[in-house]
Amino acid sequence: MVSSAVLPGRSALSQVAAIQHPVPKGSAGKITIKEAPFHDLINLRCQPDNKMANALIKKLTSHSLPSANQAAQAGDRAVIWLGPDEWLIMAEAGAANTIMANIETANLGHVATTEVSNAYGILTVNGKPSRQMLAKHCAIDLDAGVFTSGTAVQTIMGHAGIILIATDENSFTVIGRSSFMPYLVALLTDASIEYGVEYRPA
Amino acid sequence: MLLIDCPHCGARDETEFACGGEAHIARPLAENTISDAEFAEYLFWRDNPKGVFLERWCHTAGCRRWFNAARDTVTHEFIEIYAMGSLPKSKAAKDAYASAWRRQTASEKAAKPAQKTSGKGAKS
Repeated sequence: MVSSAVLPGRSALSQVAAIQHPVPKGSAGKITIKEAPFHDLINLRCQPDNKMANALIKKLTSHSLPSANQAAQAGDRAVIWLGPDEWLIMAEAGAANTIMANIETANLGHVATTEVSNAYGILTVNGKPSRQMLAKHCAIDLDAGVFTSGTAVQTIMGHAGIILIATDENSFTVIGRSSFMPYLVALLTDASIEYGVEYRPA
Repeated sequence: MLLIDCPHCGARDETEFACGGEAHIARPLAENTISDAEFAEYLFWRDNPKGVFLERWCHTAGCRRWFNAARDTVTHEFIEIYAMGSLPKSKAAKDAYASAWRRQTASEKAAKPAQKTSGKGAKS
């Protein structure tokens, strides 16, 4: 019998090598794209007014269920709004089983959890011109006054469906389907060439 | 390019949405016998008006929820966006609902429970 602990982990971008383009003269700043692999992701379905579920999620993640187009992300664990009765819980690797067992045994009514850790890959995008760069392939209003830190939207980047989260004024998290991650890295690094870019695999 | 007001996510680009065609098509009930030609009104026939049209839309690249919309097929203006399972409230959309060809079809009439002429109702 093989224990899951001895199987080597392979992230969504393990096949993609580092990419580097020098910072040209007059660039507004360099963009750094990194993979943030091996987070556990749980899709949560529940009514937003389910008080018991809210309290349990707060206990497990230290966040209340965020409202529309928001992500609660301070600390190790994050909760991202996906729909009027749907959220994504992001936690450290190996945490999904415990979190799901906690939710499932708590008898919260109509609540469902699905582990989706391996369905998605995660990128972090940093650098002063991040907003301009992301806006090239995305129809969302990314103005700093509108798309503030903690805003999270599901949208389309190029041809790929993504979840885009503003973590800071110049920092973003891009969550995409595993099979689209090499495409997203190619798309974002290409869009970043004019600023200078470094893509670092995990 | 249209900006469509998703009732959950707010204004988003048209590319994030999928149009599901005509709204308010009620399935005929099994208890009402209708002809194949009349069932085809429900199954195949779709309206294509010039003017206000009631449609179903889905925010496929966003929250993935369905909603109804009253859209003017001439100007592309979204007149009203309202929840699945409900009827429109604005005058233009209400008129479009009432005057739609489908309201007169046998298939739509057969989607309501058959009227009982005698029995329980008469006694009480």
